[in-house]
Amino acid sequence: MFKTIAQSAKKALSLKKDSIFRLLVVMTALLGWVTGVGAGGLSGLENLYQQWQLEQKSKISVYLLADSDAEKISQMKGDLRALLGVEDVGVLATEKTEELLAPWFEGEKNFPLPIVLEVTVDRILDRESFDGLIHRDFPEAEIDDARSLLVAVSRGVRFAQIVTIGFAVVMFMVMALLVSLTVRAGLRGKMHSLAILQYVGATDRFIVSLVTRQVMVQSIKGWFGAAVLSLLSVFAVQHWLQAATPYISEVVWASVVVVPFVLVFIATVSAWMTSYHFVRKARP
Amino acid sequence: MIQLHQVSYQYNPHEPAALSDLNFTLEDGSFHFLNGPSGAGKTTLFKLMYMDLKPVSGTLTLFDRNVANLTREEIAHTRRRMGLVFQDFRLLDHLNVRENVSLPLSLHGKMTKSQEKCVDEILDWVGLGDKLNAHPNCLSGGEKQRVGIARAVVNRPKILVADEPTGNVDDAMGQRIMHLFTELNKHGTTVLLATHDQSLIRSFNYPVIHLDKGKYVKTASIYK
Repeated sequence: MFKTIAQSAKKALSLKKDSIFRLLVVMTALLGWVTGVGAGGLSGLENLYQQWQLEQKSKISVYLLADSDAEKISQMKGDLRALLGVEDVGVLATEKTEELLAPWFEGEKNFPLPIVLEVTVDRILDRESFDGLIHRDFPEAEIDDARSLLVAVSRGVRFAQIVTIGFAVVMFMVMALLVSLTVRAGLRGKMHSLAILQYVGATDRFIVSLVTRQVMVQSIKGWFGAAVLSLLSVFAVQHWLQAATPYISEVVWASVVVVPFVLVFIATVSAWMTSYHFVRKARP
Repeated sequence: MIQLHQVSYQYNPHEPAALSDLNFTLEDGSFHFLNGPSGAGKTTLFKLMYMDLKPVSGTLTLFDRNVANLTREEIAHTRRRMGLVFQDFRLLDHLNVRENVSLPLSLHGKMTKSQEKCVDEILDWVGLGDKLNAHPNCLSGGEKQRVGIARAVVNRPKILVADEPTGNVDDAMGQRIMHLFTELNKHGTTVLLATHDQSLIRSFNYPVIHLDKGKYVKTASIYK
């Protein structure tokens, strides 16, 4: 479809000089930038969420009454360590416990502090066996269960991701519409050239390929601009927002460059479809 | 071979037919003049021949194919084997003379050196060798006509259909163009040339098809 086309036929149907067509590069760059930054943000958010989820899942806090038997605690610690999926069991220092509970006991200094066991676990832990073992020795123990929080945060993150993806879909539709209108306007202004090309024997396919090729080149230029802008944005975030740095992975860098390229694909398909329908309607 | 069998065309059902029941055959390699007063249907006949219009009734056969049955792709490929000279030139103002003439060749991809040379030779032949880079809006009517002729003959067509090709040029250039067409005809191109110029018809011993009010009148072997 895209074989070498001589200069005169290419020039005959050149849309480059149409101001609306020039605008296509700017539109692709801006939409691509927003899409790229959105994709990077989405990817960064996923990294942040995964890391946080891992942390939440790998630590379990067990709250025992202040007067719990130290020997029984020691024995349970040993039993817990023997449990598959438990990596470490430690007792939280008193200062840290005070710090942790401070919001609930404002100003109360004499309140007996509970003993907090911090258990580091991995994914293979059988939570039911774990809970059973603790409640066997300490029926009144409270086990900090982050599952409901995890579910709530997970829903929030997924919602944010769906909104972002929905926004991207709207962007893609806007792009398709803009390209379609641009190509239609460009071809309407070139009816004379179109007719002459047809008189000298240009096929519909040839004309469609001429138009599609031009849109593709313009949108690639726009994508290049979008990629540069998106990369600069990520650099800026990395530079000015140190806290975000751990979440800017290779995937984030790749997505800010690759995702805007979808716009090139959309623009090309839209140009092909629009010009095909336009040319088919014109008298051969 | 160009064959017309009972070919009619009507622009508007409430008006008289622009062409009615035309029957004639132009053999391969023949040369015919098309003559008739204004409104006789010459331009309509040309439009049918280059498939801008389709006959309302009857059969028009080009290269042994009924044009009514051709697909869009086939129409385009048939036109590549034809040279069309329009009365109103139909040039592209944003292309220079050389680019306008090379347009039919550029449909096949990148032009070869010999094709480029051919473009320059034809432009030289029609006396525009010094205006290769000029744009049509800087040319006179006669010069535009010659660019149109050069474009029509550059790909050595099998059929050449020319509507008043000498109408805008002086006698000397008219004769020169006619000799170019004659040369092409000698090499096998079928030529149909519409003209009002009686002296031109008289100068060449070719058959003349007469049209009047959309009807075929006669084919005279020598105009008298």
